[in-house]
Amino acid sequence: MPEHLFPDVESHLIDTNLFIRFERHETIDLLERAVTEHDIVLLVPQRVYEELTPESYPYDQPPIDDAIESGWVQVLDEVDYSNPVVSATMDMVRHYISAATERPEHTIEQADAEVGGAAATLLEDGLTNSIAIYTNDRAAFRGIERALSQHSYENHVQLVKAFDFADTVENRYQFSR
Amino acid sequence: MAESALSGSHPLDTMLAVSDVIQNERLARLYARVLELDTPTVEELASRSASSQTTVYEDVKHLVEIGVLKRVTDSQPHRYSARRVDMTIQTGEETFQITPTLLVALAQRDSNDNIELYVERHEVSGLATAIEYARAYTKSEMTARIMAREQEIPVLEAETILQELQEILLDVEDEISTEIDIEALDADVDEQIGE
Repeated sequence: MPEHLFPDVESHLIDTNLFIRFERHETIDLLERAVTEHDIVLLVPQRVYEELTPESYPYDQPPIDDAIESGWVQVLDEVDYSNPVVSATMDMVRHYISAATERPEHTIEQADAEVGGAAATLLEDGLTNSIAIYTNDRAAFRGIERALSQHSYENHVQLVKAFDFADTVENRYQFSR
Repeated sequence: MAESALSGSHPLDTMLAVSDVIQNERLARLYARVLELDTPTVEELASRSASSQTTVYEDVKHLVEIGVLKRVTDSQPHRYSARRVDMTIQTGEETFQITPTLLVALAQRDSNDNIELYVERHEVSGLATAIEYARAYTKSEMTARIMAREQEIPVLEAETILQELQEILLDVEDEISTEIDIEALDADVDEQIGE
């Protein structure tokens, strides 16, 4: 088990798959403990928030609103599409998703790249200098990393593999309730 | 039309045998347990089952008769192995794959709410389709957002079933890998953007 659960960065940005992973295992409470113990706030792009709270859905919804109310999750402002670094990042992510999934690029929506757009917006607005991105979408992350490194943000983002992270949190916290 | 099958059986016989397992959750659970335990005896199977040993014995006998299980020993106590089911069913424009993963997923219906709800909403055929998406997802070749669009379901539902099925796939399909070849992906993107 790594000594540090969370990477030493200023911002922690999560994708939909991370929150669903904890919800499925009924371990959101363990995620909350890990996050609050480390004085961290998880940042959620608007698109991710919308995906976690669909309007009509027959199942239980993940408790993202409770997490926001408790203050350990925060929804980000809109992605700044007009910023050229942001749009270039999102275009690159779309290239990567298209290549990885063998789907024509015109079928990959701008919104599919919103985690990358959110990361680029945070950096471009000067709100942060380093971001960890929690996702299991390896292709999209590679696109984010490559685009940002072409715009003088080399080594400003790092990947946290969502499922490995979730396993680590569960192993560390499940017996210490 | 059904192609490919349990080795040596006629595809039609295989299809009938497998549909028996698909429709009967108890048989699906038994098949899943044989896969998990590799080559168990009836006694070993019964010790992990809510059914009586007599019922397990009858079920095993039935699955051997229809060719889904195979007896691998010559003397008592007999041991059984699961045949690797692999069928492709084509109906009009759609094709469905019936694999051990599908049978194991069906066997988990009563213990896994997410799988149960997915089958209720999308039938067994929907689950078979989701397994194909999940196989690609496990290899980083699919995202929940794309599956959601193509199958016209919420992203939340797609991501949830993809993750459930990935856990089963990693368990059942030994050869599947979560490794991603970043260099090959970079090269594909280079080609796409003409760099």
